[in-house]
Amino acid sequence: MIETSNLTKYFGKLCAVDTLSLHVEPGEIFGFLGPNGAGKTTTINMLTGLLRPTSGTATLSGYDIQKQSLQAKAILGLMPDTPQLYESLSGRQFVRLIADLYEVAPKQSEKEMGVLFEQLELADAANDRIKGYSYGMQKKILLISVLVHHPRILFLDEPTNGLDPRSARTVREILRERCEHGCTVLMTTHILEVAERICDRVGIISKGQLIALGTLTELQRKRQQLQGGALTGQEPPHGMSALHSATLEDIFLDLTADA
Amino acid sequence: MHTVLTPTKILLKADWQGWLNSLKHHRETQRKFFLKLLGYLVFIVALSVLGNSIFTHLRLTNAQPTLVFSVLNGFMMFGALIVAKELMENSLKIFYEAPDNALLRALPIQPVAIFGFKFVHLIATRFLSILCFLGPPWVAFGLIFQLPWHFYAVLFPACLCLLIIIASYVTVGMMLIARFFSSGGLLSTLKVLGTAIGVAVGFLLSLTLFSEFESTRVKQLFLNWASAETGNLTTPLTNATWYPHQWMGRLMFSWVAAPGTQSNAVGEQLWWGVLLILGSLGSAGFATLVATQIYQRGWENIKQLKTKRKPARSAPSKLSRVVPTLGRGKMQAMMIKDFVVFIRHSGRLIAIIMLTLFLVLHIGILLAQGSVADVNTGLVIAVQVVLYSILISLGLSCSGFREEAKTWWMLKSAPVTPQLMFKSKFLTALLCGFIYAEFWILIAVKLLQIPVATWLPILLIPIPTLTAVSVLNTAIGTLPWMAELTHEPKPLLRVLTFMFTLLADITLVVASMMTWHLVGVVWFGVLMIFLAGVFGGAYKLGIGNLRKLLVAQH
Repeated sequence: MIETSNLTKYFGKLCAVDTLSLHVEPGEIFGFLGPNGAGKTTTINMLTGLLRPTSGTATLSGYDIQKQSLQAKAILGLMPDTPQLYESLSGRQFVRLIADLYEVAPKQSEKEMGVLFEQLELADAANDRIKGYSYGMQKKILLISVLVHHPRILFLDEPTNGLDPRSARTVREILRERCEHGCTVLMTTHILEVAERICDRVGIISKGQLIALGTLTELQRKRQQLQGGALTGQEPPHGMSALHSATLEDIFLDLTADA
Repeated sequence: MHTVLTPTKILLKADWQGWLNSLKHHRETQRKFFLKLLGYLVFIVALSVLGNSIFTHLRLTNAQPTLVFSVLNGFMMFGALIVAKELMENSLKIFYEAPDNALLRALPIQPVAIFGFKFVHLIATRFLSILCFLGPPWVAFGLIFQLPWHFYAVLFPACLCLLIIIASYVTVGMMLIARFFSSGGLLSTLKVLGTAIGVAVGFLLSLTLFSEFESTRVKQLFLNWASAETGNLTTPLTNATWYPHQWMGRLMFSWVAAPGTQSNAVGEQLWWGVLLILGSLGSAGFATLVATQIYQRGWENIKQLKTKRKPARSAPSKLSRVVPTLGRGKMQAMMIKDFVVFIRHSGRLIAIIMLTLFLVLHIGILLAQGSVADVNTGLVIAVQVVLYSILISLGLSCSGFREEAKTWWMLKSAPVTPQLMFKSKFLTALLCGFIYAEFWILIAVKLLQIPVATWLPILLIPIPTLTAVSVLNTAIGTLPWMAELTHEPKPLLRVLTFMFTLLADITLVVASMMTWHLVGVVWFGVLMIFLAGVFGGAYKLGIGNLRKLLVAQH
């Protein structure tokens, strides 16, 4: 569903993303983790057609984002970290605009909007102008606008950042439900507990390079191997108690210690 | 005293460093600063032209000192009003709305130190403004009446003293409003009032710059007002007055008006100078005293006002209820978005109201004068209306893409073609301009009773003209330095392009309206072919530019 091959981006002499090759399956929630400035947002910008890669390719459901950008954009939904919206429009008007741009049938979009506004507890403020919304409300509107047109691929940059615990849980549930219906999600987050709970696989990027990739169990095992190797020069036996106690946070901190 | 002055000094130092850093490294600040200077330059030139013209006239006609003083007083009142309006807008922002307020209140410093810092900040941000609005008439006065160098040297401190007095009055007023009468409606009204005064002054001064005829009219209006004021002047020039702007006026005027000996003049200068200095110190002290009592509570009131929750589910706005009847689809969605963003901009709304008022005033004057309803009258009105409609729609066509800077990510990541974006902006601009123009032309021809044979072409010619002009303006809006979506801002190039756009628009409108009547149908046909060429060329240019803006950036 999401496929990148040697995706590279230079800003002058700085290598922001270095030969990134990634494959995310349909229906998968992929967590893209990394320290600040590691290249997560740059990768998302390249995958959504906002930024041109220096080299390498990226395809979404087989569509090359550079060569078939209109087809690729029609199946993706992007939620950036900073909500920058049309502040003069009301929440409902903004979501309606997005639904129309993605050619969702009016009846279906109105029905969908109603459900999403209620789910994210924004129905009371739906007719208010976005200008008066708090940060969290703006994030919710952004999320509703991304979900309303049922994209096949979702790119979410810090989706739960700024949301209250109840809304954050609702978002996780909605994402899980969408993935069960075949939607692919690539999300970044600094809240590793969220990644642990929701992501099927995670990739850790540091200084533009993908330094770890796999399920949580796979990463735990790799860490165990590395630690064991470093300490004894031999692979430790399976079933060690430390294997299951290592959290994603431990793994992340170990791998990005020199970042 | 030490516990107040030290934190105030620290805050002012940090503020100054922050401003310098922004000016050195932040492109947007540089651009805004440059545009501000450009705006001030326009006002300085306009006021200098007007002042020079009026004082030359007064000098040549050996006018009475009271009349000269009334004219100066008029300039002072005008300048003081503008500065007070700017102070009102800024004091609301600086004292109550600035995001640093909460942080400062969390610091272990006295509230009066916060007030002191903000007050000095307010004065510093407006000093250039008072020099720009009060300086040019006084300089023109000094040059024409050949006054010595120390007249100009006193002008700066006198302006500063007057600024401190006005700032104190305005700040105390705003503190009282915030503490005792704070309401969302009142604050919005103050903001709208400020913008309305700004637009009116800008228009009035632009008349003196762009048209000699209008400049003469403004001058005459000013002189008539001053003459009437002179008749009302009951107190002699040397007597006391309660108005601070007159303190400065009389101080500066004493260089020419002091009757009798040189010592009399010096005594009078000393008197008004001391009064001005004491007045500024006293009013600043009074403002500080008031601040110690009510500033904190006022800030809390305004903060509460902004965070007040709506009790019930809000109903859709009237605009939202009308919009669905226009149908759904990509083009409608984009056009509705463009229109709503355009119309919900308070500055633009005020501009529309002001232009409409001028139009109504013009039609009213023609009706009152009982002008003959001939072709010329109709054409003049039509040209005026079409130009106004173009000015109104510029926010959509020429500046429409620039407005998208923050939301460009959304359009770039959505399945939107360059054609769709261009057409939506152009059609919304055209529709707004067209409805405005045709409505007011119809009103004008009806009221002025222009014959059918004349009004039909007047009503029809704007259709092709507005279409060509709107597409041209939209295409100009897609130029990289005009859209400012992917490139570094180029303020000078942007201003020059904007001036060129206005010139091209005026030429196209006047040519198409006049060719029909003055030259003939054949040349009108040629002009229409030319307009079609403009349409095609501009459309192609606009689409090409947008295609480059919509692709992924390097």
